[in-house]
Amino acid sequence: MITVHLPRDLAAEFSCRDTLAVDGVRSLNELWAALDHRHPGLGRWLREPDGAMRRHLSLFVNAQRVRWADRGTVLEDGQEVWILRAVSGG
Amino acid sequence: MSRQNVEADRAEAARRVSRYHRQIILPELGLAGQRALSASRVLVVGAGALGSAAALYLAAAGVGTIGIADGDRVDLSNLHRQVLHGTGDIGRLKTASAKDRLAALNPEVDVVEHPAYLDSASVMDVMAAYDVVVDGSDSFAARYLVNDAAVMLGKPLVSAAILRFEGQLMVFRPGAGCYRCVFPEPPPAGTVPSCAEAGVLGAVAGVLGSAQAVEALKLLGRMGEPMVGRLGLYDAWTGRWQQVQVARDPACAVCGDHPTITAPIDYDSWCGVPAPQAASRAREVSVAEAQRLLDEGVRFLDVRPEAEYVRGHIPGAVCVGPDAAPATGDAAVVCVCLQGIRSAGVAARLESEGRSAVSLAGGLLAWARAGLPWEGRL
Repeated sequence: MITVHLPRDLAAEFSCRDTLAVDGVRSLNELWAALDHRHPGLGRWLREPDGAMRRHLSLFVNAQRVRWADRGTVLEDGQEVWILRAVSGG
Repeated sequence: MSRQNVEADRAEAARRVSRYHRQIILPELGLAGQRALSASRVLVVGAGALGSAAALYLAAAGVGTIGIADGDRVDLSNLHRQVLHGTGDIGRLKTASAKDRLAALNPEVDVVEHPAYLDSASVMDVMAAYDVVVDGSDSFAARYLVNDAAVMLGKPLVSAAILRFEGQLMVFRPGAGCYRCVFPEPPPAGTVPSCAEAGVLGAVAGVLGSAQAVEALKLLGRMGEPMVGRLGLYDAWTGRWQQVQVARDPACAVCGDHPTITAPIDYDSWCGVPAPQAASRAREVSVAEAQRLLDEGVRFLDVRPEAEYVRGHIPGAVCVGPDAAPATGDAAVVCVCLQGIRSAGVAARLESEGRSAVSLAGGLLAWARAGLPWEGRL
C-alpha cells in the first residue's frame, strides 16, 4: 500500500480525501489508473496524455522530489507520495 | 567631540541596545549579529498579506534598509490579512502606507518605496541593491520573475505562498536550486485559483510571512539552519507542518547546467495571463449571474465525468465530460464542475478556441449553498 497526498482543493473537487491509501500499484501509470478507477477523472487530471506527471505538478516520493515523473516511475509498498502544485497567493 | 555629544552618543547607543536587547542576548545573534542586521538590505516584493507580516518583523528586528515593491493601492478587502495597512489607508499606495507603518514601528529603519509592480525591465535594477529578497507577490508571473532575477543576480530568495488554509515556504541560496527546480512551469491559467477566488484565512499569511522574516533574519545574521533545500508545507486546517526535500535541478531552465533563460522574459505571456482586453471579459460568473443566464436559456455544460455528474448536477446541465466537445455551435455556454476549478480551465480553453464560455465560480457546491435546485445526492 502507498499513501498519496493530494492538494486539498483538488481532493475536494473530486469529492475524495486529500490523503488516500492505494493498494497494489507498482508504477505511476498504475497509480493513475487506480485513482481514475476510484475517482473518475482524477488520474487523468494529474497526468499528461503520455502518462507523465503534468508539468506544473511536482511529485515527491518519501519526501524526495522525483525529477522525471513519467508513467514508468516505480512505486513501492509503504511509500508516501506527495503530489504538489504551486500556489501564488501572497 | 564635546562631553555633551559623547553623553548623547552613549544615550543613543543605550537606547538602541535596549530596543534589540531581547534578541541581542541570544548568543547565536549577539551584538555582532545585530550590527549585521542593521547593515543589511532586504527587498520585500509585495506589500500584501505575506509582505505585511514579513516586513513588520524585519523592521522590528532592526534590518537597516527595507525595500517595498508594490504597485497596488490599499483596498478594504485587503485589511483582514494585510496588517501593514489600516482602514485610514484605503486608496493609498501600499508602499506609502507600509513606509508610514514601518517608520512608526521602528524609525531606525530606512524604508525605500518602489511604488510599481516589478517587471522584466525594472526587476534587475531594483533587486541588485539588496542582500536578500523576500517574495510575497500574488501571481505566478511575479513569482517566476522574482525567482529568475534572484538567480541571475545571485541573491538569496525567501519565497512563500498561501491559499485558503495552506502555505508553502522555500529558501533558495545561489547555486542551491531555485523555484523553477521545484515547479518548472506555472499551472495552466485558470486551474489554480487565487486568494481572491478561493479565499484565504488571514492569519495563515501571518504564519508564513513571519516564517519568511525568520528565514531572512537567519540568512542575514548567519545563524541557525536556513530552510535551504526543503519545501515547508503548512496546513492550517490540521495545524501540521510537513517538509519535503528539494534540490537544484541540473536541467533547470534558469539555474541548471545549461540555462536557456539568461535574462528576464515576458512572464505574463509565459504564464498565460490574458491580455488586458481579454482579461476584462468575465471568464467566471457568480451564482446569481449564472442563474440569470440559465433563465435566459444559456446552455450549461457539466465538464465532470458522467460518474460524478449522475451523483448530482444542475437541472438542465448537459454532461460533456472533461474534453467538453459538444456540438453546440457558437452559442455561449456556462461551464460547471463541483467547485469551479476544472470548469475554469475548460472555459478558458473554449474561449481560446473562439467560443463564448464562462465558468460558474464556486461550481455546483456554491450553487447548492445558495439554495438553488440541483438533482442527485452530491
